[in-house]
Amino acid sequence: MIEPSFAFLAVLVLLMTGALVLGFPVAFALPGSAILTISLASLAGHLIVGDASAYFALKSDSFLTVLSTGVTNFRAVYWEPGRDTLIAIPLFIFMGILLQRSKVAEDLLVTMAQLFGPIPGGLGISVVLVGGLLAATTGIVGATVITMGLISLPIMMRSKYSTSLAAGTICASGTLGQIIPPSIVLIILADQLASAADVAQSIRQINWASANDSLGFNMPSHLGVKTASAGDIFLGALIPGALILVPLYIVYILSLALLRPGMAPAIKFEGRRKEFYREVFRSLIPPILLIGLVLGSIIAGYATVNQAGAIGASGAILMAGYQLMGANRLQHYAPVTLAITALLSIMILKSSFDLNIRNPNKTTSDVMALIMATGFVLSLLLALGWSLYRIYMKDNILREVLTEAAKTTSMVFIILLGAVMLTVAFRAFGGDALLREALSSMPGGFLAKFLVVMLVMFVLGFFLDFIEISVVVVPITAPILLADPAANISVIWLGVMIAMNIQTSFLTPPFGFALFYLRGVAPVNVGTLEIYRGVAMFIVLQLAALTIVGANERLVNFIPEYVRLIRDTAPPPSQPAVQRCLEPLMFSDALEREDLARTAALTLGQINFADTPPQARNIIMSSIESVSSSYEQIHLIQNATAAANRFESQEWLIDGKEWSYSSLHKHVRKLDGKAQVHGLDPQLANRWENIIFQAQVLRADAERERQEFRASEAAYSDVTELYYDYGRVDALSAVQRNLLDLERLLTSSSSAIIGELSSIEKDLRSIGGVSNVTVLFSRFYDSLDLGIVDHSLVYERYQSIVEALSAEIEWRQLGQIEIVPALKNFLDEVRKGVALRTLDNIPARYRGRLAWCLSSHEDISLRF
Amino acid sequence: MSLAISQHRLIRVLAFSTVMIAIAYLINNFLIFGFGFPGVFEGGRLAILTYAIGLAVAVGLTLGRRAKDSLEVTSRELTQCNQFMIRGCFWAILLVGMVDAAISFLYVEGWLPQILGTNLADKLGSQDFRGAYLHLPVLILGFLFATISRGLGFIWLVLLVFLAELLIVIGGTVYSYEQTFLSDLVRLWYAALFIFGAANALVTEGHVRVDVLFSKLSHEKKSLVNLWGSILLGMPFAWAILLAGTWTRGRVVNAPILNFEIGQEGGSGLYIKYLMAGFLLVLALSLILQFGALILSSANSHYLRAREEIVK
Repeated sequence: MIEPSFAFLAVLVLLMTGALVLGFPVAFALPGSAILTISLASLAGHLIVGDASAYFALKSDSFLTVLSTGVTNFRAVYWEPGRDTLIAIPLFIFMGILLQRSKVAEDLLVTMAQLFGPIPGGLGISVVLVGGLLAATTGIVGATVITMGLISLPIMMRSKYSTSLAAGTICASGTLGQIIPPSIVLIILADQLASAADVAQSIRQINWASANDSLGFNMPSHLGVKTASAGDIFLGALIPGALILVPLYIVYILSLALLRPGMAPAIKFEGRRKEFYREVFRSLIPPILLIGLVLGSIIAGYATVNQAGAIGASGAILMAGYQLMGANRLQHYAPVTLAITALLSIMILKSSFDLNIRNPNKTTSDVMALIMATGFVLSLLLALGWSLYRIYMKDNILREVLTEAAKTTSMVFIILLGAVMLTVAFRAFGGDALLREALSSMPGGFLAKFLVVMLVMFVLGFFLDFIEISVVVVPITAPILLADPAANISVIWLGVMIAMNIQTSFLTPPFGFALFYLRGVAPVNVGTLEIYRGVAMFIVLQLAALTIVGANERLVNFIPEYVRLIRDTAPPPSQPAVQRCLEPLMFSDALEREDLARTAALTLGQINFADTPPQARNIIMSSIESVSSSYEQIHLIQNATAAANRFESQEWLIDGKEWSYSSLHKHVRKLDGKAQVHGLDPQLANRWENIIFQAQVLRADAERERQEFRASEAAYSDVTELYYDYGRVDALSAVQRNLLDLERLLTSSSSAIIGELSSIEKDLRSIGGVSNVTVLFSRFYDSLDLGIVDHSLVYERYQSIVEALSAEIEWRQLGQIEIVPALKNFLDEVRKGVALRTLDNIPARYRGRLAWCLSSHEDISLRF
Repeated sequence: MSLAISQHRLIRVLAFSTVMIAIAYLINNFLIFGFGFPGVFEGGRLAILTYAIGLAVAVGLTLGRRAKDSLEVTSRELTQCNQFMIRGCFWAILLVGMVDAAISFLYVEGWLPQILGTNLADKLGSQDFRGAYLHLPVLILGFLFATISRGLGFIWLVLLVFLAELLIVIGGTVYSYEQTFLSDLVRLWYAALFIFGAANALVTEGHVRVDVLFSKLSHEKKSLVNLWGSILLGMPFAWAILLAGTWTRGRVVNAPILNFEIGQEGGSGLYIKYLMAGFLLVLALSLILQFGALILSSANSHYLRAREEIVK
């Protein structure tokens, strides 16, 4: 249906295109055209139909509400902690510009060239490696290509490299920085994708609610769209960037050099060996260490992306601190040496002492260590200040770097703000609904939608920089792609694919950004056609990499999944999201050890429990019984799941047509109760609905068996608790000794007794598991509170505590000989199988397989 | 030539009045919503007077100068105005951030009552008191600093964001000490960084342009793009922020400022959320000034070329 608001959608797109093509700054062209169109629509509505909101998609919208939404969303960019990842951008920009200005990149390139020079194509390879390493930190294509073009093109030409290969290598390596973390564009993409994931999540909830006659928030969490942080996207980009693209480039250059040595000749090394190695050490190791430190701290989970930005900036400051001095005297390295010494000392202190400043139970040595650590922190800050002072004094470079960084930051963020207004206007004119309609009515399912979106981004990449595409196209299209339940793609994979796609676009003639930038700095004798010819093969490599990564989502998803599982914040085995992969692993392990588990249960059951309190005995008995019921449930779950799967793989002949279950399911969902409207036979529609209903019943059966299984798990948790309870015996005995020592105090002043007793009570409470002893204490205090202290009463109540405690100790002690070892054996066995989910953490042996399974995209369309 | 002069005057008076109306609008905004004065539409005399004075100043500034002054000179003056405002805001935010962080630190550690006495410590816990009696004087002090200092100022926020984030890293990794006020401080300074820098990036050609045509255009045509772009796209953007943020009491900028809004963490965070809402006003005003300047300088170079061609 054609809405009048679509006319203004067209006006919006035209105005924006016009403003952009004419060259008005993007940051203002985007919101300006949005505001202009909003005003035009209100004015036209007012003049033509007398209703200013007539031409908005939502009739409740008006000029001021749309603008207000825009301004509210501006504010949202910096207002709440939710989008704090963006703070990393100025930090990484500062780091990148500082490294560039202090000639770290230049030195690195020259040394790398010397190092790899003697191998065929070595110079080209070093350009690729430097591009991958250092371009990562600036993230804005123009800057990288220009720097690399200025430094390496002359060297390559001098070394008789073929012009086209040199140009191609530089362009391709210059764009690598976008995909290799820590890049700014990945941060922006992550930020935009996070909000897109929220939108996608609500789309899914709506679909789920209508398919299941329920409310959206009842949707099981594992069916949702899992959002991803910038750190996750960094991790996801590692393999595609560093392990696919870079090696592809290198292999290409190497094989070209071997096949046609004239194009990429090896360079003979001139100069003294010893000095050269020192030079390699000096200019190669620090940048690699820096990148390693930044990425490593994110991977290990020690630092957020912002904090990693601060770490990176510190490293850049320290490096600039000696680079700018000339780096040829020992004293130039004083600040960086101080910093490294301080850092190492802090790490040593941290590993052997408790430096937590808030910890109230610090020992004297902890306090000493804390003081020393503070000294080292101060020296670290001194080293940074010293380096900053050097950068400030040296030709005022600090001020220039800060000015440049501030300018770039503003540029990036004002575009971000501007695009917010554009998105708001786009939605206000019904653009997102139109787009969703158009994409979902396209034949070919997810793949077609995805390819269209990627193609649009590819073409836009000819005209717009990465940031603009991320902030304009991603909010509009990504939710539609992410919400698709059949593909169920991960946010990380989408982000990496977008990044690689735009990166390819920047290389593609005739409009590719990188080509323009290189053209700008290349000497005149480098022909434009030669540049085009040079990048051609790199485009093929890019497309190959895109296809590989597109077809194997695990290449992107595996590392983030695995890292998530090994961190301190790893999900417990009972988390719903990991069940689809953990359950098969756990069941097969459990079935394999069925005999062992049953034997362990049998051994435990044969023990004489006469001295054990009835409660504990019940816990043990019910856990023994649980073993058989767990195994029974495993079989029931497997059977029910198999039945449901069988049903869903059946085919039906309806109305002379073969239907697979999934196509039937999708068909019926599309009709969504509109069978009558479509003029279909109600009986036929009924039959369809009925088949879907049966499938749902079968799924529900399997789910019910799972619930039963989970119910049997409670017994394992209880028996684990009991096992720990047996372990309390030593601590309790120690308290008992203190308690018995108190007997002679009973005649002294009541305040002294209360003091001692309450400290014992506190000890017992912190040990836990003896509540029937601790309840007796208040009665004891009461006996002291009476006006005249009745010593016999006090003694009696004291005795009741002593007796209760020794009873508690006794049964635990008696259990140590037989019950505890049997319990331990039993628990060890079941926790490897049926009781796995009661563990706090996923055992290490599962992590790899689990991450591997979780990193594939699961089709969940039949749940909607 | 006389035509050129009247054209100059027209453009100049338009630029000045846009700026003065924006300032009068802002003053009125606080008179109306902060102190309950009637607005122009309610026939408020003070409101009408403010706008009248604003327009009079704009006309005065136009007539009071030699008409032979090029628009470029006026453009530079507007830029300087903006730079002063931004410098003031920088110092103000720098000081407020440090003072507030110090107070929050003392509050979190429970030392505030010991140092300032329970009475004052309690009062500082109230956002109205802290806003009116601590932040306001500190903000004014910031603008005083701006009059005696030079330079852009705000570029140092890059370093400050870095230092504050570094404190978070050190606090977290070495001392296991993590507090909301530090991340609030980082957020305050980082937001200030890109908002205060927006207008400066405009003067220094820091904002990227799509380069399909632009670099091939003649200087005169470039000026034309800048001139009409500023009028049709830039100015409306700035005004949209101003109007949508403040049109009624409950709008995104007005509501937080009038209530001295603070974060959910209360005393353990900074009391600066309302100031961060105010950043949008700074953005709007500085863009109005800077686009005014851009309109003047683009008009100047456009007409200068046009006149040169007539002379030829």
